[in-house]
Amino acid sequence: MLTSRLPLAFATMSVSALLGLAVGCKPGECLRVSDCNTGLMCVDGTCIDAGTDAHVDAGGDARPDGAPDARVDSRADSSASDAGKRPDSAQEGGSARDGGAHDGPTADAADAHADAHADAGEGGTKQPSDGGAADGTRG
Amino acid sequence: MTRRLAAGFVACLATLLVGRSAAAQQYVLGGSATLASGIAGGGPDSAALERARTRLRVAIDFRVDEFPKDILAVGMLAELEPHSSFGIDLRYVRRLSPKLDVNAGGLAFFYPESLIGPTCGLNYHFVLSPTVDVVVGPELDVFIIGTDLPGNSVVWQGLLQAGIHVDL
Repeated sequence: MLTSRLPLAFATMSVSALLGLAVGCKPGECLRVSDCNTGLMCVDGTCIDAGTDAHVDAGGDARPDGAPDARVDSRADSSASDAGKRPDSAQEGGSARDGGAHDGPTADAADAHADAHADAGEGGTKQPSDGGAADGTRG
Repeated sequence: MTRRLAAGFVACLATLLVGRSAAAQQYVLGGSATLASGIAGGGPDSAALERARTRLRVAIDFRVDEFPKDILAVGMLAELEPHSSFGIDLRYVRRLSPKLDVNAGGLAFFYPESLIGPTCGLNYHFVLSPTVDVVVGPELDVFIIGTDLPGNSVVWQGLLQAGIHVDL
């Protein structure tokens, strides 16, 4: 009786294990401490730098806890911010965050994009903590 | 009288020293090498599932020919990717039939971090020759102690292993 059911159990477990092979490892997450690189801790399933408390993702770059990903293309956001700072744009198109920059005159939108590109060229990748165009608080 | 006593003593000593173990009881050795992978879960986020590390196991097993169904196996474990670790395991294997066995025991990784827990598994033997089998089977490991565990979590893994077993 037992031996007749064992092949079925064997087959079930084998198929389950095979299906598991298709499950990909999620980057930046950890089940074990040794899943993280040297010097990092596994906290709440995420590899964290013990010294700076910065999350580390699969790309290996660290950023402050809670900060937005700097690799996200912020061109539209920054251009909107720039456009929003213009008095005429604010009057005509409303809030820049609401898309007012794109609703405004074509020249304003083009200027805003040009500004954004110029900003990127001057300062490289914008970091939110730099106070640059990404958060709309240009110094 | 003294001579007879001395002769008896020498005879007893010779019997003890020269005596051989019973020819019917012999240890039978076997060796195996298997690769395994599967899924792993648990940890701080118990809902998370990941692909388990690919593991190489090289083992030696012992059994007494009078009790061929009771086998003791010692294995060396090496997890190969995506991260490396090394350890050992000790299992009791029970042969249910010439083609099927179950095993239970404990395994421990000790480098780069420690990880200890119970394990159990099932192996199906595809007989290639009287001494060589291809072995395929699932295995379940649960890690309950060790510095490789984040916090007070438990990590488990279900593996499918395949390899070869040889009677030495």
